[in-house]
Amino acid sequence: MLLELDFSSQTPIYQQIRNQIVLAVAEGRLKDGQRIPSVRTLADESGINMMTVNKAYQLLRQEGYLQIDRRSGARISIPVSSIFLSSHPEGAVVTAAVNQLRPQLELLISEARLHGVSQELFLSTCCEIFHRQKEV
Amino acid sequence: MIMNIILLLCMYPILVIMYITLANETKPKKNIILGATLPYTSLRDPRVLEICDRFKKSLRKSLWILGLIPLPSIFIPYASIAMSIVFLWILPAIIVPHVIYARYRRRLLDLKKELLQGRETLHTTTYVDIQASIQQPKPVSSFWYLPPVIMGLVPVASILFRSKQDGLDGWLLFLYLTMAFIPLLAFWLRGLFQNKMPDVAGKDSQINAALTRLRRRRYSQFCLWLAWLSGVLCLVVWLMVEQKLSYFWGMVFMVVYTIVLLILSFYTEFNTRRQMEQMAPGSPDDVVNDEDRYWIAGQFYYNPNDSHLTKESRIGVNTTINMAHPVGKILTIFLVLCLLCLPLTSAWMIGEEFTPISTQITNDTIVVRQLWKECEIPLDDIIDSTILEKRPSMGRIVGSSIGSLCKGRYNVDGFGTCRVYIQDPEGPYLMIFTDNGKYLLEWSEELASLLPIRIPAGQ
Repeated sequence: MLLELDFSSQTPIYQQIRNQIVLAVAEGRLKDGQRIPSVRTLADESGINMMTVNKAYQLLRQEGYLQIDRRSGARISIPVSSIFLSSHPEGAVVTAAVNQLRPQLELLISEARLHGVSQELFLSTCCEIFHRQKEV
Repeated sequence: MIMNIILLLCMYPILVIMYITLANETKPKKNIILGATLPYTSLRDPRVLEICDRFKKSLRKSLWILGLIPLPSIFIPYASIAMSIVFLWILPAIIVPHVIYARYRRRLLDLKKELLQGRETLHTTTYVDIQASIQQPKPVSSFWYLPPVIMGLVPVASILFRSKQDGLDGWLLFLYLTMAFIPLLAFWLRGLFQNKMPDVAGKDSQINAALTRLRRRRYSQFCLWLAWLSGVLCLVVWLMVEQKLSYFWGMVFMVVYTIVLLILSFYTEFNTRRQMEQMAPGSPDDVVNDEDRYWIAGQFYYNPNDSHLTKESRIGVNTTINMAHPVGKILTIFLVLCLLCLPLTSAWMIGEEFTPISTQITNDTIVVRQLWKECEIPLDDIIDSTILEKRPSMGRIVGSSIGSLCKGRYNVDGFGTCRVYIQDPEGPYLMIFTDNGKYLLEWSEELASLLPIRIPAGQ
């Protein structure tokens, strides 16, 4: 899996790492239980500061996308809400996840509207992304 | 004159190496030509090819001119001046071709900007393959580096052990310590190569992992060879100094050592590069790290976002240092100082050749001086002395040998290891025997009047 890091971007590097790992998990490029390099290995080999990598990994661990074990290193972990999704679409866990994502979604919709994106185009783009990730 | 020709012939390969390495940069390495990262579709653009052709022509012309500059040194009778001309010529011989390279790279970067409609980079993204580093082979055990490190330390231990009896020879200790450092350096380099950024040749992590594995294995093997060969070299030099091995065979080993290391380094890099090209042939869809902005004049890597100390050089087969790294900054200063040493060495050589050796007797001690105090021999320590009418045949162990000047520790025919301080090519000379060793000095009446001189039979 390729990380695409933009050092001149306004988005902090740890946030870029976190976002891309979440995207890779959602798109199925990283599977549940799959090993990824430890903080030290990724920092050593990518040349990114170890504190930055550690910050990204801690964030992913808190959000439930990553399990960090001293012996086996770092492994991808699919959050419980994704597993519930198929069997309990309206379950309490899913509702909690939606509530958690709501502020980000509102910000995203606001930005889209300010850029002149219509509701139809926005929803169809969302559907296309959902559909693609579902296929994986 | 013959020595001057040999010296010049030894230095001319620099021009050939410069041409081969720099002209090789006109062949695309992924999307990079002459140190400029271009769009894949522009690699065969006639304007790019024209810049490359002009660069090669300009390079050839400058190298021919550079080749003519040191020719007058052949006719100079003073060794130090002839050597100084050749040594000082090394600087322009290296710098001028690189300046030409930087000039044509600038032209390519201007063309790139035109091709990208005003943008200076293809993109500002750096690609890192996080899967490539997971399934890496176990590195060669550190244990295999232990024997060469011990081999390097044997001469150091020997000279320190002997210093209790004979006194410490500072120059020899410095030589042994420098050589013992090479196996340790190889061990350190092995760690650096092991942690290098994984190769990113495309979107396929399996190929990226295989390429990274291949490069690391090759460089790990090279470091081990370097450590073992250097360990053996330490022993060979030690045996040579101790006169357990002839000077001739010692020199033969040194030549073999240099040639083998050169072949190994070229083989490691070019073979790895060839296999990588076979495994991941270029395609327009490949991911390309456009790092042009981190390369000053296409030759000096300065990337504050990269915590690595080393980076694969864009020119030749070398690894370069990241000048933004704290250690990189120190190393850069050190390298600049080393380059400044070339003119200083020239001045020192001229000083040595043209300053006469003086022998004075003060406070019952013979003091030998040249540029500074070379040695002191208390008269009470002298057991015997003898006159040598002609210069004996001798081989240098550690010291200077410029023109007729011989200074330092030499293996003198019929006398073994002696400290030699002579400059006059004709003689006569005085061999002094003391408790601490033998000294070969220039004969002087003042000296001869004070010493118990034994005239050898037949003289």
